[in-house]
Amino acid sequence: MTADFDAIVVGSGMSGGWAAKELAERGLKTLVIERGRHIEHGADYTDFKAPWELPNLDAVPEREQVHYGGRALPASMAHFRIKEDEHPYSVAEGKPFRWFRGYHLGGRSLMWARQSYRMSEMDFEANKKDGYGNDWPIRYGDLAPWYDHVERFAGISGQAEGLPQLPDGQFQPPMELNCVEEVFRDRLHEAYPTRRLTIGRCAHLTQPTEEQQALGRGECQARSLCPRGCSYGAYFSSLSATLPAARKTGNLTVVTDEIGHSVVHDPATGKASGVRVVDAVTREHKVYTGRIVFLCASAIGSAQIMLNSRSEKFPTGIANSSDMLGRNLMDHVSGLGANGYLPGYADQYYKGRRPTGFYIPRFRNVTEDADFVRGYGFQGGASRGDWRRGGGQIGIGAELKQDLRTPGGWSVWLAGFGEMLPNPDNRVTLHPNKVDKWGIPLLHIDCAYGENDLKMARQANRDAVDMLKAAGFQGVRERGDEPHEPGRAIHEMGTVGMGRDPKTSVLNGFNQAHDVPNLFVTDGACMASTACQNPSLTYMAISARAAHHAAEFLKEGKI
Amino acid sequence: MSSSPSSGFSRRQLLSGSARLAGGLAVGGGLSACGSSEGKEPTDELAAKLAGLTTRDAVRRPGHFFSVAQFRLLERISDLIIPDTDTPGALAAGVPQVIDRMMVTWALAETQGEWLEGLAAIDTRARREHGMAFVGLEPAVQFDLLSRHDADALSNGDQNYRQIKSTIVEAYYSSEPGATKELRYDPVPGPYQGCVPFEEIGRTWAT
Repeated sequence: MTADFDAIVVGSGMSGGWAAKELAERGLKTLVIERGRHIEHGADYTDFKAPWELPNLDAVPEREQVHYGGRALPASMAHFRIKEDEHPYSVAEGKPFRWFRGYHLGGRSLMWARQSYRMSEMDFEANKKDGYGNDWPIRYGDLAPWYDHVERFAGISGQAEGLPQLPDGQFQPPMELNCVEEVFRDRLHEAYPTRRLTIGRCAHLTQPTEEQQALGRGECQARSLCPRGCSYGAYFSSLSATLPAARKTGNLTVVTDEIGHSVVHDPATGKASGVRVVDAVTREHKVYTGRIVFLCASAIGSAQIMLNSRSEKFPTGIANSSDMLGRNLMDHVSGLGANGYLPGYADQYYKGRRPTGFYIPRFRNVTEDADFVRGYGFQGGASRGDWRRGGGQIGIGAELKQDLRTPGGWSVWLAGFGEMLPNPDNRVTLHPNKVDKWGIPLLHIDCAYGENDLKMARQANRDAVDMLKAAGFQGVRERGDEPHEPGRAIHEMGTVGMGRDPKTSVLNGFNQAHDVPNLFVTDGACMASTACQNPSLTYMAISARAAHHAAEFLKEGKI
Repeated sequence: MSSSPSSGFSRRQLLSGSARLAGGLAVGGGLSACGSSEGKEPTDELAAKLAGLTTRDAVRRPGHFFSVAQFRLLERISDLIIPDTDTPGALAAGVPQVIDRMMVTWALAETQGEWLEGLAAIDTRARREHGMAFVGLEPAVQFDLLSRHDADALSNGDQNYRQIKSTIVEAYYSSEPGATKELRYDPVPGPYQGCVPFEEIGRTWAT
């Protein structure tokens, strides 16, 4: 039987774009299935609208906020947001979880904060060392060449620091720190010699390569309008980079408005034979057949598809002989940190709107001990107050206007992101009786922080306060007593974890399902631990690596 | 909402009284004075009195949220908060029009009510202190009153006033004159420069 495609990739975001590119470049006829609508790079962006061209001061009408969880939202970014009330999910009682999605071509690669950090050897060893979670079946050395590969193509700007906990990469020139950030860095290094502040490593072109220019990508213009889409293609997204590259091979087919329903399993071959989809508009079902299947539908989305892929062989979901499918849901512990201000430096300003901040790499359980395992890093930034302060400060008239001509004082923020431990009880399941409007069972999420996560959060707040105070900042305040609910960091991971043992994990070291050799999962679902770094770069590297091996296995007739 | 006066007086009684009110600003022609049985345009003061500035009953303008009186009050407040100086102010930037449009296309009833209450509080203060509507006061008196109201409201955490002020400020600095003439606006700054002497930029960045 001939298949419709050599490879089917479900999802067009960060991971799916990479899988598609690498598979198509290896000569495989590749289908990408996107559940959301088509987005045209450039034409569907709103980044050339001036503030005065945006109605209602760019606020989504209040009556429409109900679609976005009751939140205010810039209207110029609403085109990348789902109407959440149309995509419900359920959570366990008393365990809130925020599931933030991007249902459109390019997925959350159009919405991410573009922070790009490598995981390190100590991250891949952590589960084995302290016993939480499954030992990663790969080590840093397995992924390092793939980090190189994706960084060169995606374009990551950053500063090499030589830190073992945050390996350097193939960097384009770093963006600059501003004056007060430099002051903070120097004072921090003085007060804490083993802590480091470096410019945020981000997927923005500061020196585009020929390859990037050939894809129509240009240098970052420091507009900081990224969440509207970037017509310069200066930040990495599936639409600016991987999908155009895949398209150039002539091997790519993309369908949109088709929802991944389930993976079809052929008991005769023991392999996946294709993917069942539901047309988002007509609700009709159809099956695409393929020789290999890559699930890149996001951590929770890929788990949902697998759980919904029930057959006689796999009554609880495809490749779930271990009963680990859906388990070990993680996010980063977020909502941590502190704010403060620094008097003076009134004669210093900056030009442009830098689309990244600075980063303080993890020091807990690296150079400094803690009463918990793992650790956290801090993102942050310093800036001067703008005219917005005028809305809340006393004074009107010419004097107010005159005052706002000069920027306000310098303030700084630190936001900690902590490593959440894997815990099999934190899991997603299919809702027993509720379905969405396409008849697909809703996801039920049961996830809460553990003791280690909460201990870490408290220490992160203390560390943030202490660092700002030591650097002379005033009015220093913790961001909050409690971390945000899980999901809020939008770094959800786990659920289809990699591991060495088919009895305790779903995927092997090539992201191949232990039970179904031609089924691969390469998005955040595959993560055996979260580390504390922003994970997207790792998804890219893992996807590219898995695609490479999948193509080899296919060529060798192994799958 | 009803379009009849909320007070016990009939519209006719109040309108006939309007002739005796001195110093009122005449409402421009072409604006609807719905229910004006005598064919006369009411003064702002009267319109304010009619509705007590807590509902939009006074004089409605098709396609707009604020009554004529309310809009005139919003214009004065916008102008007092961000006046014309060596650069255009809130009126030249069309701030009241932007806000009126927001009330129609953006705000829910609760928010609309907060705006009306916030505006009415200013007018009520004028009536208490000076026995007349805010818009009828001399500009210097208006400035003095609004300055004190501003200080009181922001010190007391008056969210209605804060919403009014911050929206006026935002609408102004997001406008073309506010962003480009009053402040510095650079849509495509090019590579970020982290340390630039303020004097080289000269003004706050608009974005």
